[in-house]
Amino acid sequence: MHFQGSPNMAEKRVKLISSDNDEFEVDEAVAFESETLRNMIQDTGTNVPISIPNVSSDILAKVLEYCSYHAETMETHDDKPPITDAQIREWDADFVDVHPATLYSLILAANYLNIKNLLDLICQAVANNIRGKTAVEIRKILHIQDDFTYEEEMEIRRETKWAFD
Amino acid sequence: MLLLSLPRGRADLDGCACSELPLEIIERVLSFLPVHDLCRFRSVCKEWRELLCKPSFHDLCEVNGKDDRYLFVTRDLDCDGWSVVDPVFRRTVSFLDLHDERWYAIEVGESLGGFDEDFLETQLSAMDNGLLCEMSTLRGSDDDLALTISDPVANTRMTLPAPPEIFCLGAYLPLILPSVDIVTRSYKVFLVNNPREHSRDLTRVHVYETFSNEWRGLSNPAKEFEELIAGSAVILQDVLYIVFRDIARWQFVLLSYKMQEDVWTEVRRIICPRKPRHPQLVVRGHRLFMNLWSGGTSSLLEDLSLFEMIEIMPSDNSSKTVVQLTFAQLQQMFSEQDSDFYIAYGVPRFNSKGSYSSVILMSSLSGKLITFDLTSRTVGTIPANPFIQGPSLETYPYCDMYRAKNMNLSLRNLLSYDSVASG
Repeated sequence: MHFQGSPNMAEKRVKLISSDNDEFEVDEAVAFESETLRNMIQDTGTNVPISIPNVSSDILAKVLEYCSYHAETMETHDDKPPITDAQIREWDADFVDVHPATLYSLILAANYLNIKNLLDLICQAVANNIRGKTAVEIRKILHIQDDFTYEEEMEIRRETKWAFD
Repeated sequence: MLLLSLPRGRADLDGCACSELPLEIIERVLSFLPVHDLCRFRSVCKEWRELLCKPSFHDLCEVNGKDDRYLFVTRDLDCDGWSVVDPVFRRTVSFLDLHDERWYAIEVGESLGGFDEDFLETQLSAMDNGLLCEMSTLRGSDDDLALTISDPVANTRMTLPAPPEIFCLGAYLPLILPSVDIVTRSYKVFLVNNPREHSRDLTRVHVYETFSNEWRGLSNPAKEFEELIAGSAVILQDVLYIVFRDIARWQFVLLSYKMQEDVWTEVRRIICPRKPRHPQLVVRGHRLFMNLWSGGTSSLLEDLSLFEMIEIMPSDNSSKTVVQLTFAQLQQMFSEQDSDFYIAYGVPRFNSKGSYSSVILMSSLSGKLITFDLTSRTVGTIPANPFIQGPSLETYPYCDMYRAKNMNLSLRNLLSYDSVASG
């Protein structure tokens, strides 16, 4: 399937178990995109399936799709031209074009699995969702309690009046 | 072969999931936001205000949020052949957010230390990385020159130590370029003294650095007998780029300078049209662009008949055309009849996939800004700056020239070097 990775038969395969007990099998190079998995594999080897208790299968599938694409961009093939930065940017932009709720689940998974580039990519997409909002809107979206007095809030507005107008 | 079943439509994926995001992720998300949003988000809650004031958060912002989205606009007035920065634009520092096409304006409060604002004329101003550097003189005085630097967002200003030399009264004004160094959380100011006319001066470049609080000379960009006039400069990834007019060879030359090595390298040369208009360097999203005015050389009229924006790839010095427009097309786009009209600034915009989608162009005479879509080749207007009144023709009967520069702003008070260095 699409995140099979390299056809190299000698490559080690890694088994991953999602929170809802689905099993995924990927090339070691794909799993190595995640610092967390890399450390686990280096500790326990590839014989034992690795359980990822806080990532559900649909999110893990998405994450592995990202990892296998990016692992593939690192490879060089004699018969294929290398993947350009522009193509990668385009692929990434399509990848994060999902429902905001999916983004929030992906962010937690990328953080837990420690995949820095994916985390940055999603954080940027979430930032685009909250851009241009007022403080009141932000509190509502993120369920944050307003803990300023009226005077304190006015003082902050005065500091950078231009950004509030 | 890997087989997968993907469970779909899980019920717990509602919008509320985000309230569980840990603060370290919130910090990462916020670091991608523009400065005007972050200033506003200080008032969300105490935890956020604290986060948004942390130097480590500012570091993260400078790495993640750098897309040079703020277009700072100002105007020079020609006052009896003496160029001054329009005081209206000095009191109100205004800039356009290139993404959302919204104007912001910061009223600059304090007067310049030691000088009475009414007697002061600012001859030169340059802004970059959120720092505004100005060179001011007292009216009619040759001696009292001062370089000041201000951070409009933090509303702070200070006078720099006097540079070793300023060639200010010749035909070619000096060039100044402020620049923030993210790594050391300090700033620099480059001063390029152009040779005085009919002199044997060589172009000289000095840099002011906060850590030494001194000016020091850089190696000379010009060789002996080479008359180089600097017209436009930018910093990209710690490399200084300056485009000079090489008077003797009738060419423009783009040089790069690496601070570590103190060496100038030639990037490319461009044939000068008969009536030369200086090329302009632009940085957007870590990429280097150059605006050029060129054209045929058969008659004076055709000399500046073509405007071109190119992207220069610093890796191999190759270039790619972003847009090419004839003078007639530009006149039509801006509804401009005046033959002195030219494009004072041009900056590209990218789509989410990083390719050019449109360019924003500014008229030198009216300051009017338009967008030109590169796919549909249609023109869009950008709302006029609501904070600045029209041209001040009564006070200054000569030509007004608009100038612009796109850059990042910074949340940190850039001038409080000591406090950020220890923080």
